[in-house]
Amino acid sequence: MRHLTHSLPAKIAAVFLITAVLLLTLLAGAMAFAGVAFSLQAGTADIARRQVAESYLYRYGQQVAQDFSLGQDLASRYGQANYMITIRDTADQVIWSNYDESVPVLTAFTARQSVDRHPVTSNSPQGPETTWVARAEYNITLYAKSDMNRQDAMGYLVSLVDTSMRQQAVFITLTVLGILLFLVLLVFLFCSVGRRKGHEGIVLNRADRIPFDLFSAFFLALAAIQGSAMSRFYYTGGFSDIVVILLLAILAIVDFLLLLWYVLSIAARIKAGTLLSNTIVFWLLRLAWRILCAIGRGIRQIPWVWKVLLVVGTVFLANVLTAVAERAPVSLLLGLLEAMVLGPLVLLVAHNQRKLKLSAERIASGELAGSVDTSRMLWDFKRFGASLNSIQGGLSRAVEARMKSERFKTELITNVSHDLKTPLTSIINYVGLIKQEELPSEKLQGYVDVLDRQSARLKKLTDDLVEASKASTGNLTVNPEPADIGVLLTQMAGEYAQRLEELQLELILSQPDEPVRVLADGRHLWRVFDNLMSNICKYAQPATRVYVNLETDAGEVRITFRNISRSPLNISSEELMERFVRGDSARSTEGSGLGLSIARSLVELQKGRLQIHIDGDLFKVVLTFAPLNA
Amino acid sequence: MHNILICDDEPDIVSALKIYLQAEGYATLTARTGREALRLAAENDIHLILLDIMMPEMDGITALARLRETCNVPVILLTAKSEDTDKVLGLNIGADDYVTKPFNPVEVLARVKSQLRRYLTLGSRTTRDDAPARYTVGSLELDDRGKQVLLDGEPVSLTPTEFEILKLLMQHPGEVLSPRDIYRKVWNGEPYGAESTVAVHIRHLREKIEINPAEPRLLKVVWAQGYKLDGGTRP
Repeated sequence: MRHLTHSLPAKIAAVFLITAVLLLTLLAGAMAFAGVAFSLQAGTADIARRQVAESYLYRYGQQVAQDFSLGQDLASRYGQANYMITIRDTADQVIWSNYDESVPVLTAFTARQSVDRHPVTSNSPQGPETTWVARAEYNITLYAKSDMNRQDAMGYLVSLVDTSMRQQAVFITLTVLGILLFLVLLVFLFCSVGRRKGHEGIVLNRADRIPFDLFSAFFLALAAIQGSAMSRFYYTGGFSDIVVILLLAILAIVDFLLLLWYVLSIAARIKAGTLLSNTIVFWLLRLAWRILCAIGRGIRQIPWVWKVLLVVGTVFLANVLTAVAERAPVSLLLGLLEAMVLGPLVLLVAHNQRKLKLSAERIASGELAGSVDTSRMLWDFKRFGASLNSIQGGLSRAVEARMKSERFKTELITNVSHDLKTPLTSIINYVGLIKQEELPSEKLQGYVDVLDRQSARLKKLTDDLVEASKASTGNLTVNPEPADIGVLLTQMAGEYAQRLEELQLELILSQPDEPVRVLADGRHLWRVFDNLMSNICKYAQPATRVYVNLETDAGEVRITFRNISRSPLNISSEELMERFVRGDSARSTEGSGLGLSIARSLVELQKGRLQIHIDGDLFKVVLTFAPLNA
Repeated sequence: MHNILICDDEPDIVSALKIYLQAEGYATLTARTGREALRLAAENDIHLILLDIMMPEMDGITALARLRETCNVPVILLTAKSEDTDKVLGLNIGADDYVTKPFNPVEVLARVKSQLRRYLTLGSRTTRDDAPARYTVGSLELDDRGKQVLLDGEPVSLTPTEFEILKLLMQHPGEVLSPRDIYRKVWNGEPYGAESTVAVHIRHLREKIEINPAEPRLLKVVWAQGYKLDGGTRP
């Protein structure tokens, strides 16, 4: 289906086919309609044929009467006709006849015709002699032959009626099929319009890009021209000529094709969503909207006091002008007085408001120093200014309290961990002393090993705790300077070479040839890389590869760490970032669970981003920084 | 026999240090406050002081400042504040080294030995040599002719590559050299992505000449820039 809707030949074929189908369907429909109409009216085909024949026989009878009155040679003239003639006078005496009893007759029709004069041929001894009979009335009977072999209107129509009634079912079926086929083709055309080979989506051709209202106007104009031409043509009454009929048929086909084009263009526009937007009216409306917006922006940018002045001035001017126009000196005087009294007042109010507004904006932007000067304000504004000042006071108190509590928290953690370190020092030292002693049993040796290991872990935990609290509160000095990430990665590879080798991890480092610099504090950045690599050493599946990529694109420096996790990561990347959360459910390995949290805080302190992606066992950390433009 | 003064307000730490130091053959004196430490230092022949910062009566920083007015005995700060500002302050006032709590006793011992060697045996020699084939940075000495490196007067065994890298860094003390620079000068060629070889060698070098390679006092890593050799003990 797709290669059909996108193929140009298929579409051209469909247009030809739909035109042909339309014509044929119209013909079949006419036949079916005639058949149904005749069946309803006449009942059987025989009766219908007879009725049609009789209507023609009546007309032909008049022709016969005329020819008879002019003394034409009826025998030669009507010898081959589809009907036979008998002319009788009022006394039922046969005057002239070519009726042949052996020929089967469909129907007969007798009409009384009044004939002005007519020749009568009698057989005298001197040969046939013609005498003229004056005006008289005759009964002219026409016998339609059952077998009409001459091509005249009656014969044609009778056979048509015959066919339409006998093949009624066929024509109805054909009509229905034709309609269905027409619809199918139409749907196909609707589907394929706007599609083009080798293109995704809707492709509008040049005509479809013409503004829709212009496009419609063109078709309307065409229709109007044709309509007026046709109406004139109709009234001059010339529908009988075969050439005219042919021309009309061609015109109808052209009309149909134009209509099809129009409808398909609408379809294409709807599909591309440009039906309403690609119109001149829409453009004009949009232009008007933009102009209005620009005007609105312009007005908004006028300072507040000037705005008020503008309004007051306009009102005053309008008042003065009306007073002048109405020739009312009193109201002019009143207006001037009003302007002199109210004008300064309004300006003062506006000025007060401006002051309040500026202060409110200042507070909203978080600047909590300074206060509103309420000394030269009107009563209500003064009160409002005072409220604003007290809001500001409350806010700054709240902010200060908040900051104090943050500072206190960090200090608390620092102090607590400091206090923890002193006893920890003793523990480590004495555990070391015990280890130097000769221990009486294996068991005791094992216990001491546990103490040794756990005290080392506690040491790491306290260090990490301080660092995490500092990093997350931003209570850390950052000295940003141009840092060469490539060098840092190289240094990292050197620092971790041995550890990675012990774990059979292969580090694959890829970086661009030219140096990649960012503005960052090298030591904090190293801490981030250190944490990430130490995590990799702790959690990566041994004997796998670890990929570290450095790349720059779209104005970003991206460092990606990828490794295969040793244990299943049944945890979301958001949770992993939380403090103290670790990916392994067993919590048996070393580490505080603060590494990622610290890394993220440090990256964010340096205006970077740290993202974690987990895809099955693939653990990926992406660091993003803004590049430093050298 | 060297006398070491241990000054800390935490008796357990003091006695632990005492045990370790005495096991190494040092004589020890102990003090609980800065004031006491100053008094002991004035009364006795002290060769090295281990000084805590946070102490009652007089803290370590004040005591150190007072001490430096009269003598230049090596002082190693014991500090629980692992903050850079405290280290810098202590070193500026005149400390020779520092260890952060909770410290590893082995590291303390190593630092004590290093300081004592420098103070007692190398004290007068550090500035003597300026022959081009010899380089001295801090407690590190490199003899290019003899292909020998001495740390606090004791030989360190280095591979030829490590020796060349160290020589290059000692020729440019205090200067940051990027891995690429080092590769070019030591290998005499373009690295083409082989800079991490340099990084690996530096790491090994640090393990050989530093007491705690994660916190180097001589061969420092300037992250995201390169490496430098610095004589001062500052971080």
